[in-house]
This record gives sequence, structure tokens and C-alpha cells, in this order.
Amino acid sequence: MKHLNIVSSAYRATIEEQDDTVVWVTHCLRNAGADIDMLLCGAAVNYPAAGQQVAPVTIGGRTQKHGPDVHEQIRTFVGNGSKVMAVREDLDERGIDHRRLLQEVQVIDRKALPSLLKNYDRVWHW
Amino acid sequence: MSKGKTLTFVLMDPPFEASRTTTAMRAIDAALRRGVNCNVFAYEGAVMLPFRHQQPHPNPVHGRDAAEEDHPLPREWVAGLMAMAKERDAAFNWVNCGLCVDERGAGDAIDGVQRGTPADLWKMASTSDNTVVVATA
Amino acid sequence: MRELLIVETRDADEHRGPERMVDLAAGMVSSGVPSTIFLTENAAFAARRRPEGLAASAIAAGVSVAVDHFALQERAITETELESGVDPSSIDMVIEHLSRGNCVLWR
Repeated sequence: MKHLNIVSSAYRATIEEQDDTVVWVTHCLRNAGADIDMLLCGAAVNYPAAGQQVAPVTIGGRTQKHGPDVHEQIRTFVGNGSKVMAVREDLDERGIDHRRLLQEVQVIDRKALPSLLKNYDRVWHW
Repeated sequence: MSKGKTLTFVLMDPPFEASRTTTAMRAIDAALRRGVNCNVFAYEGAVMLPFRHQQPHPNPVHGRDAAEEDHPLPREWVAGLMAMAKERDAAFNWVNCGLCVDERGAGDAIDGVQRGTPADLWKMASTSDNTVVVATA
Repeated sequence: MRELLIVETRDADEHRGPERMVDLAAGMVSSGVPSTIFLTENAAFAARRRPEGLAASAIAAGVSVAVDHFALQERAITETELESGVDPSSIDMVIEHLSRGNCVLWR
């Protein structure tokens, strides 16, 4: 069964969680045996934008060791045979230069979404 | 038409923060009333929904004590859904994501709540007729 | 994909997401997949009749639009105020679609 996870929320609790938890759970589902791809839309299209850095946060003397690294999350996911796609119009609306995206991510047009979704047996929107 | 089917719901919102929680619970209630077997995978803040130590409180603005205010508690809803499933001979599994439980200190859940992992979500989804994710905003 | 149901909870006057969902549903209809939007919570505001409203544009594109009766009552929206073609419904609609194996996206 082919499965698509659509991710639209971004940078939500990523500092506390040290991961994007929807990208993370998508990895877990794949590790559990799911044949699964990921579509980034809305604010999540910024995830593949190069140059992101999260300095460890210190609050009340407690310094974080591992900041979130969403690029590593995407690269590992794609490296294991799954696809990551991003919606072109959402990138353009946010002024994101396509040349600055991780090469692992495929850009697709919003008008292609219906035929994309039809290729999957299950679609979950997070 | 629905009776005998199995549905899986993924919840993410913690209690008392989003109307999405109530809407999702209404949907699960509707499913169980039809005799649909239900799985719930509680991810992130939703692991607090069946937390044992939720307490009702009075409402001084309205001049009601705790009993009069009769504040609904999500753990009561979860317990009620479990009981309703039994009455209707439907299966009802509530699985809290274990890592989400740990980081929130939510380990003390009401009886019947199971601890699991995203692999359990995959197992539930794979053996269900359908699955819906009610993600947080 | 046999059919699509979008459960929309967001206020279309506050978010752009509901408009995107209408576009998606319209695109699915054009590609042969019957699609419905179920408005609940603050998305129920979009069920009210208004010029160039989201509900009207969805219906014009062949998308079925239903609204949660519970959400209407909560917001004092009467059935006489609804956009023509919007069907008052209940949360059971979600279970019906899920039980039929349809794709249900909850936004």
C-alpha cells in the first residue's frame, strides 16, 4: 500500500522536540514497513531551504545539546528510498529561491496535486 | 454499513486547547455508536487526554462549586468511550505514544490505556479499514 | 481514490488554508474524484451566504459542501442563512466516508 504524508505545519515545537515530529513519525512509519513518501506544503516548504541553523537554546542555565536538524531528517528519509516533494506555489509565495533547496526534494506544481494524490492508496494530512 | 469496520484515529492536541479534540471525540463516539471498532493513537499532547490526575474545579465567576460546574474531563470521555465500546461489542484500543508520554510525564493514564510506539500506529493503520489523522494546528 | 472528504475546521477569513482545500477539492472533482468539504468548528462561518463566498465557489466547481449542525447551532447560524447548496449534516458524515474507504483529510 503506497502512502503519502502531507506536512503543512512547520517549526512547531521543533526546538523542544529537537526534530520536526511529523517528519520524525514519518521516518518511524517507514522503518515499521510503510511504503511512504512526504509532501511539504504551506510553511513546511521552507524545510529544504539551505542555510538554516539552529543555535542551541539556553534557558535558565540549561543549554540544549542537539538542536533540530530538519535537513538531516529529509536527507536520511530520501536516502532510504522515499520521496520528498514540495509545492512550487507555496515556495514562490514565500519568496524561496528554488536553487537554494536541498537537491533531494522534488518541486511539484499545485495543479499536479490531484493526480499525485490519486497515486497513493492512503493520504494523511498532518 | 459501518458496523464491523475498524477505523484508526490519530490525535495530537492536548486537552483543553483546541476544539479539534472535542470534534474528534464526537467522531469516535459516533463511530462506536454504529458498532465500528476504533483504534486511537495518541501522539504528542494527546497523550494527556487520558491522564489519570485531571481534576474538576469550581467556577467562581459563575458561583458554581466543582460539583455544580460538572466540568467534563477528557479522561472521563476516554473512559466513557471504552465503556460504550464494551456495551456495543465493539473493540476500542487507546494507545499512547510512549516517547510522547515520557517527555510529558503522562505515564499515569486511566486503566485500559496502552503504551506504544509509531510501529503500533502502523500496525493499527495496516489492519484498519481506514485511518484519519487529526493533526494539531 | 474513490472519493475525498475534507474536514475543514479553520475560519476562512483568518486562514488561507481553506481556500487551498477548495482548490484541491475542485481539482479532484475535475480529475474524476467526487469530493466533499465538511465544515465544522470555525469553518462553519463559511457556510453563511455571502457574495463570492468560499462555499459558493466550491459548489460552483462541483464540490459538495456540508456543514456540521452542531457548529451551526454553536454560532447561531440558522439554516435559512446558509449558502444555497450547503447541506446541514452531522459528524456521522465523517464516519460514513471513513467506513466507505474514502480519503479523509482533516484540516
